[in-house]
Amino acid sequence: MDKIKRAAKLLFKPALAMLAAFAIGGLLLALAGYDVGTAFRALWDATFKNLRSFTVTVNRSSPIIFTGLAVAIAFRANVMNMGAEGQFLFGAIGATWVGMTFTALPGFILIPLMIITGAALGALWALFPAFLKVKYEVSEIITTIMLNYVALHFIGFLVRGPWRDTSQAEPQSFPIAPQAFLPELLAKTRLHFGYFLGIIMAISLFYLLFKTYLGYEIRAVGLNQDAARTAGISAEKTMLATMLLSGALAGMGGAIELGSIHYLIEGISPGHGWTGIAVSVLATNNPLGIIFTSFLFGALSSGATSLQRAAGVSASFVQIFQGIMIIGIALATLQRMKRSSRKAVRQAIKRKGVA
Amino acid sequence: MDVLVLENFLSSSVRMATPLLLAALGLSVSERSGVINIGVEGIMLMAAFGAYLGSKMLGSYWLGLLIGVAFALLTILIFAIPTITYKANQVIVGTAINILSTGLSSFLYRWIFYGTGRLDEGIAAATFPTIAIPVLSRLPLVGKMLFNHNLIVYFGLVMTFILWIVIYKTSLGLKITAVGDHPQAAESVGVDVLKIRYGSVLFSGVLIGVAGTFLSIAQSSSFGEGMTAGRGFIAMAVIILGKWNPLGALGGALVFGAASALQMFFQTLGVEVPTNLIMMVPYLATVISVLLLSRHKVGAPRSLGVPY
Repeated sequence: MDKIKRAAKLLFKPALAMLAAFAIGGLLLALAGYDVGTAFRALWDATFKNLRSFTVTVNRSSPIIFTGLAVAIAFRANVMNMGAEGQFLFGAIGATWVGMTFTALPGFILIPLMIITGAALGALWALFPAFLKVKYEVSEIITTIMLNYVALHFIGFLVRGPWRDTSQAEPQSFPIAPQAFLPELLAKTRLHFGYFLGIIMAISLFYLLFKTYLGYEIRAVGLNQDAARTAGISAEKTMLATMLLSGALAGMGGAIELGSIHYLIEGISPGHGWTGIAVSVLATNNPLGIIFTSFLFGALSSGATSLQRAAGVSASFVQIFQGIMIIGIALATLQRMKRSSRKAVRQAIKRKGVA
Repeated sequence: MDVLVLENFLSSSVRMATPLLLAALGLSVSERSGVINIGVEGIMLMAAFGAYLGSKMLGSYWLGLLIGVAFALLTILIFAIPTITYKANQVIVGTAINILSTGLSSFLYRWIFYGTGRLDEGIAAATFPTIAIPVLSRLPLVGKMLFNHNLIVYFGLVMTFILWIVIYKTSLGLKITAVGDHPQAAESVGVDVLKIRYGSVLFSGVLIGVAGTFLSIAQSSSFGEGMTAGRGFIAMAVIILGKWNPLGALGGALVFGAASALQMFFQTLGVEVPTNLIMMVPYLATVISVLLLSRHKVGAPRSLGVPY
């Protein structure tokens, strides 16, 4: 009974934020003169119309669950990793290289190798800002954002330069070996294992965060660095480990996405790293919650296209939902802080007659 | 080298630098007050849309500017109220603002120009004209580079110096800096921290609004979905390169402006250069300069990103 209560409490705020988003979004649609019923039905049908559409949404949730988990673990340690995007891209770069190079390997070796390489490159791409943060106290917010753009331009260079498949009109890399294509789990769909591997990762991450010593360290550093230090935890090492894990998760996501698309393109991530932040925040940085929020955002992503087709609403409309949800959750999960100390200062001022 | 080509390169460097400069100037004030605003990208986008809409509907680029700035202010309020009054996480709300603005600007654009709220497509948007400053604009090299632009470019250059004076030579500048470094200490001597932060953030909204306006109705004459293309984030890099100093921001913005101009420069020359590699340089330069500056503690406001 206690457990149910706790779960209900945990779910209440995200549910409220979602409800607010759909209410405000619906109102906006109505005000703009669109048929709200048609629009919402299009959103729903995009995922739940039939098995095929459902598998499309599952696939779309795959990159987001990985970037979401990447952000979640970083945020738990109070490391503001804004670079899941770049780490995702480097994961895709690593996977492309492996998939194009080791074409003699059988698929059951090549695919895991791609994912591992992707994770390694993602971690590597996170290592630099992490190092700058712990060694020189440089804010990771800016460095990770900058490195996103470096990664993006590096892909641009690769697909226009050395890796360019000149038989294609648009800049893209050569395809990876056919045995490296992610296998289809269901006939006549393109369903692959990405999201399911993401679920396994989510459960592992939950275990790591709440049942292991490293997880305890991560959470301790995230809650209060100074207190964690007093308790004998090396905040620097913990943050470094967190960023490496975070980058590896994002990189895995990129590698899997590449295995699903089969070749590298500049637009391989339409902002999956940023969506990861949204997904994680909505799940209050809980890995298990991300299983659901990533699916929700995957469904919104599928819904975007059909919203435009069925109701004539811009596909970007779903981003309005997402934005409102995050602001809602950011407001709902506020901690009452410092207010008392500020009051104390004010009263002191009054007493002394300053100002 | 052909002088004309060089002149064009310098001139477009300054033009490309302008939106980065304006946004960076605004952000350097709000960051000095302790607020980190990742939402700048989205706010600029909303302003670009507002300016285009205003200019197109009302047929005047001044009214376009007014509406662009108004859009920016409304959007930045959605950022400011949760983060300043309610102390929500600035980075998270900033991210939300970016996502929300991408959606909202595209939604409104499609709705107004292609959807049920269809607007007459007949009239073209009024744009800021180029105003050559007499005599000065005919100087060799510098003339075209600095004195043959539209008003917003001049505004950015003038604003740089005004802000430098305000930040370093006035008590208001001192108060803003104090609030960003030690809000508790500032409050104990009677500075209203929240008021200073609101003021700084709203002021940054005005400049970000002008930057967005520049994109849609000065540099071009149309709005494109997602047209800011990362310029807001670059502006954040520019502040670091410039060490939160308006004059430094001018230098930083010119570095990025020159990198973009170089890309076009090579294209017009027909030289095959991997432009993506060139575009990587300013970002890497930012990261490296952050590293180098870090020995002198970077110069970032000490309470940057910490709610009060």
